[in-house]
Amino acid sequence: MKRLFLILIIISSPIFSFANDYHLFVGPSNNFADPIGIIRLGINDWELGRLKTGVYGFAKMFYFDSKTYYTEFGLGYSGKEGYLFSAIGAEWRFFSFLGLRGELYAVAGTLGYFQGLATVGLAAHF
Amino acid sequence: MHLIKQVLPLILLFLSFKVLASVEAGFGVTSATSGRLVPAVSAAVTWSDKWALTGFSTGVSTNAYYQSTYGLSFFRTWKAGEIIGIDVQSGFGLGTFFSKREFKNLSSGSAAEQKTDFGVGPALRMNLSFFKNFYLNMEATYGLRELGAHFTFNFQDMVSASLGFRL
Repeated sequence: MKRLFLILIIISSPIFSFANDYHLFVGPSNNFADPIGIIRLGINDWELGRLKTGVYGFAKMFYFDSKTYYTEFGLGYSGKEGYLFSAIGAEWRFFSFLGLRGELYAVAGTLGYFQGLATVGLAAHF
Repeated sequence: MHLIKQVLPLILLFLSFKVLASVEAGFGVTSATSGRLVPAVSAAVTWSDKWALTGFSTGVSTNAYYQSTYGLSFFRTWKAGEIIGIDVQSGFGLGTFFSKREFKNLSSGSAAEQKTDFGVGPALRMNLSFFKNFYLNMEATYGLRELGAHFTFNFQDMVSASLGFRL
C-alpha cells in the first residue's frame, strides 16, 4: 500500500507540481451583459472552461515572451454547434498572483455563427 | 542589355536557396453573411515567415437582393508553436473590409435600397498547418467605429475561417 501511494505521488507530481502555473481568468461579455461571461481555468499553456458566453471548450496559449503577450487557439461547443476559437491578448501582473488581462477573441461556428469581441478581466495565479 | 537587367532579378529569385514567399489559396465562410454558410474564397501571400497579406471575397445574390463583401489584411506573423504536432502560426496586424448590399423592389425590379459598409481596425490571424501544404486559417478584423461601443467590447467585426493549401 505504501509503495502504491509512493507511485501515485510520483505519477501525479508533474500535474500537481508547484512549478505548474494554475490560473483562473474571469472576464465580462460584451455590453457587460454577463459580468462573468468568460471563465477559464488554466494549467500552464492550456485553458478550459467558458471561452465566451455560451461556448465551452479548451484552448492552448502561445506566449511571445515573459508571459505578457500571447495568442490562443482552441475548440468549443455551444450545445448546438462547434466552434474554432482564436485570441490575442496581454496580461499585466500587478501582483505575483493577480493580473489584468485583456484580449481580442473570435469564434467561428460550424453553422455560420461568427463573432469577434474583446474583454478585459482579472487573472489569478495559484 | 535592358532585357537582361529586367530578367536577371527573376532568375536570381528562382536560384534562391531559401524559399522566401508562399501563396495560400482556400475556401471558407465569413461573418459577412452572418448565420448562413455562404462560401468565400480566400488567398494570402506570406513571406519570410514574418509577413502576410491576406484577402477574401464572398457574396450572395437572390431575386430580392445581393451582397458582396471583400476583405484585405496585412499581418506581422510568427511561428507560435504546436498543438499535437500541428504547426501554429499567429499574426497581428491591420484589417479592412468593404461590403455592398442592394435590395430590389420585386414588383418593379428596380433597386429599392443600396448600402455600403467599410471597416478598418486591428486584426488577428491563426493559421494551422497540417499534411505539409494544407492549412486551417482563422482571421478576425475589429473594425473601429464608435469609441463608446469599444468600451463595452463591441466592434464592427469581420471573422473568416478557411481551409486551403499552400503553394
